[in-house]
Amino acid sequence: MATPEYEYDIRGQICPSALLITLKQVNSRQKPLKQGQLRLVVLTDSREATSTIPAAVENMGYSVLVEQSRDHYRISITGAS
Amino acid sequence: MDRPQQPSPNADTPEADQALKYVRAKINQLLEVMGTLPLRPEELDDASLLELDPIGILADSFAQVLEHQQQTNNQLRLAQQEIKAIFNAVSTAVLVLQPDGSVHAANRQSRQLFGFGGSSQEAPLSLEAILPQDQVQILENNLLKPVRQTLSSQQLEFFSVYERSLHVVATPVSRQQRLDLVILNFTDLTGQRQQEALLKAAEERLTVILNAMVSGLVIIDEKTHEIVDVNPAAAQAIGAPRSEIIGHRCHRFICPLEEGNCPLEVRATSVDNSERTLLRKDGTQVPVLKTASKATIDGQTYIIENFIDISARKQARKELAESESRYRALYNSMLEGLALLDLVFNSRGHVCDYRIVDINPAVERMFGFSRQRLLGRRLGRLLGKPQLFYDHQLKQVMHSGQPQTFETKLHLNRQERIFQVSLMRPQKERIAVLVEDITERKAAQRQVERLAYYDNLTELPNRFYLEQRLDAELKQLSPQRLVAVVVMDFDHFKRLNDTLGHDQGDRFLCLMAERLDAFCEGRELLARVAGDEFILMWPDESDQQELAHKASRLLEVVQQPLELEGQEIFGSASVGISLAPMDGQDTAVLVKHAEAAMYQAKSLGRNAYQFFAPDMNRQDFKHLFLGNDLRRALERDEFYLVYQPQLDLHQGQLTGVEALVRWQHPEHGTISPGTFIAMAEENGLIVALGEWVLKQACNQLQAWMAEGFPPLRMAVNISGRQLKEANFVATLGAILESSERVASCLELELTESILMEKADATVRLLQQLKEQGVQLAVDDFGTGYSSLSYLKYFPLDRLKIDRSFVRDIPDDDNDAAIVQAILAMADKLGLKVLAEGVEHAQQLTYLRDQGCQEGQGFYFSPPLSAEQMTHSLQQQRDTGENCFYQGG
Repeated sequence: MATPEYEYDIRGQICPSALLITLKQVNSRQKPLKQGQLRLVVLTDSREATSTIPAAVENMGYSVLVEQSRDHYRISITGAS
Repeated sequence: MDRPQQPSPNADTPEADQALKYVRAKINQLLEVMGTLPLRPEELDDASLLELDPIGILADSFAQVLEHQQQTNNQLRLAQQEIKAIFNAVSTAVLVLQPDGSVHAANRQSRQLFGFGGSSQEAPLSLEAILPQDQVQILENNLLKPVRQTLSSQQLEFFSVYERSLHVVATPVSRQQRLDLVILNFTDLTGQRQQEALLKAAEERLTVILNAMVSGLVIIDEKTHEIVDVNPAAAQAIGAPRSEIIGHRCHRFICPLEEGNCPLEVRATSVDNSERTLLRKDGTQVPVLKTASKATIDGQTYIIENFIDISARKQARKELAESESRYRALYNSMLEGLALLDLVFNSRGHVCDYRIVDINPAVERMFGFSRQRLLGRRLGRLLGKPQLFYDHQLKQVMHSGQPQTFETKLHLNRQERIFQVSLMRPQKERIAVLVEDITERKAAQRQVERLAYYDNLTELPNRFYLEQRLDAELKQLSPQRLVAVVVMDFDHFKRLNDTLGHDQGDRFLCLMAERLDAFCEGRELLARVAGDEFILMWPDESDQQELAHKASRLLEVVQQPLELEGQEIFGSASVGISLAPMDGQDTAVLVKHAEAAMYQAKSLGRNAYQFFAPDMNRQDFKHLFLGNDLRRALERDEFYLVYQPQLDLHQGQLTGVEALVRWQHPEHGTISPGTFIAMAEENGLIVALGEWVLKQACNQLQAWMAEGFPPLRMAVNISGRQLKEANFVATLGAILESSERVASCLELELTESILMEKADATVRLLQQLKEQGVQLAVDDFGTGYSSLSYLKYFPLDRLKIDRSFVRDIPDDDNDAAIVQAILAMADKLGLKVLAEGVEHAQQLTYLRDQGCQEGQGFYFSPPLSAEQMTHSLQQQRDTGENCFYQGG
């Protein structure tokens, strides 16, 4: 059964704010994420964000998957497996 | 998404500005902690900043980080406990080492195994504190060093410490090519390895037992009946290597005749124990005694067959049965009576009687008792106790175990019979009695004795008897008494025989014998010594005149006419007389002289008597002269040896020579050995002459050996006088000293009469001679008197059949029978036989056919000089062919 996704597009934002916006989204969906009811997908074109976001959310106990599309990155965040 | 930059709403106040600066600084500090860049003012204006609330976001995030950390710590603690539990719970001993080799951790098993630390989890500081230095070194060299170098696991198969046998695995724990820890895992295989060793030993024992088993062992799969294994004994019995037997169905080799009828299946038993047949690989069949049983090994059922070859046993049983039946046949058919007696004991344990256990049919015939009547009867009761004959002999045999033989007379059917009884003790309490009725044999023996002393035709004493009487008379000569030896030969008797026939000739002799016998008085004796030659002995004469008168009367008696077939016949005789003591004091000499006188009478015109006179014949003069010459002949080197070849009658090759002595007299030429040997015997020169012959023969033998001819046997005649010399053995030893090879080729020929004289002493003497390495032969065998019982004890090699028996074979049945008997007897005694005097082919063929091994005689070759003999040997060597006889 596929987990519902919430996609948030932060393309155009550069790193600190991209991280902050992502963290805000994670914080606000903390419970469904942890319970595995939701997958948060962040679309970003900041290359730096692909390392800061996973480092931060992994320390918080989440799993992160970074995929590269044609002109942006797709960062999927789920509760730790 | 472009966001327009907005000015900070409260930047107009310094406090607000201160606060915002502070907020931005703290946000950046937090962002740095999060590992990202500071937030630039152009990125987010003050108003948006406050609206976004980064501190709030980061605080929330940090809360989650902390929570996550908490969870992780809990999990780690749990994991650590788990690991610790596992660490202590594993069955192997584990030591965790720092890269420098100090012990970082040790589990419970390792503390127990290496005996340190009690229950404390505190690990000792170093490996050296746990293990002996040598062992630490082994670990270092074989495990730790390689692990450090390769950063990969290493193992050590055998590591012995504290009487344990361990298997060690060293596993590195490393990060980024840096060694953090080494985990040593010790598995204690002591028990397992001991178990393995025990199993191996047990298996080896089993293999040794199976290989050593004399009986064959075959292991068969119960379902397929295929042979799974065999031991070496079975493979050998089958005659094929193990590999060729395994896999075959059992019927291929065992119980082949009952194929498809497996004893175990048909009889539905679990054990088979019976005689079966083994079919060997080469197709031969061998009877075996087989035991088959079932056994389950590892859940599978096998038939274990165990067999032994019983062919030898069967053969022995068969032979025993045959022997038994042969013995039984002999027992039943033998002419001698055989009875078996068991001892009967009285209450004091003494033998009081003998019970008849068995008798053969001969006993029934001899004594006229039936077997039924005798079996089980007691001898004493049967014969009546007081008449229990031979009690003494029976007891002696019983006590000593030595057989006894005696003769006894019994009256059976009012007839006296003579029995020879032999008593033996075949078993401890049993006596065998062998009874032979020798009545007829005894009578025959008496007849033989009579024949030995008396002439069959005239029933007068023979020459032998006469000589014995004469010997006795000559031993007691007295000066007052003359003993006359009167030799008488009828004139022209041959003519009478030829005209009237032998029967009438014999009748003439018988009638004359009666007449002459009547002429004899008192102690006078008449003997017929040959054909028509008679000798009278007149032992009590005193006067030669009277004797002459008596001789005339004798001639007159002879001249009285007698009637043959109605014809009147007038006989006449020539008579020669010699007198003891003047003409000789020895029987042979006296007879010889009387014969000389008789011939003189014959030559003077017959029907006359003649007294012996010393000049009567030249032969006798010669005899006297020769006696003197003989003494000098040795010194003058007038003797020489000739050699007569002895040959293998079958193969034809030369086996030996007989050395014969010859005398070349300077005046009289060659003197016959018949003359000078007798003389040498008489005057004692024979001892010196014999020694000369022996030396000469040995020298010649050595010369032939030196020339490289194949060894020849050298037969040398030894006279009785020579043998009686006390130092004969020493003399022989001195002659043989030079060469052992010569000794082994030398054969001494002795006559029967020499051997039989003092036979007991002779046995010892012959043994001494044998010890010198020489061979011994009996010369002229058959002419003398041999006791067979002694012959058996003499260490002899060869018998030489006398020429007199060879002369008339195969035509003369008696001589042929004697030759056959000698050969048969020699065969039994393990002696070789050589025939003397072989002169023509028929003799040779007969001797060869009868199994006589060797012969000598003129048919092959006369005696040859040493030169001739050497020449023949050379020729034989050059041509490779037998030189005297090609064999047949």
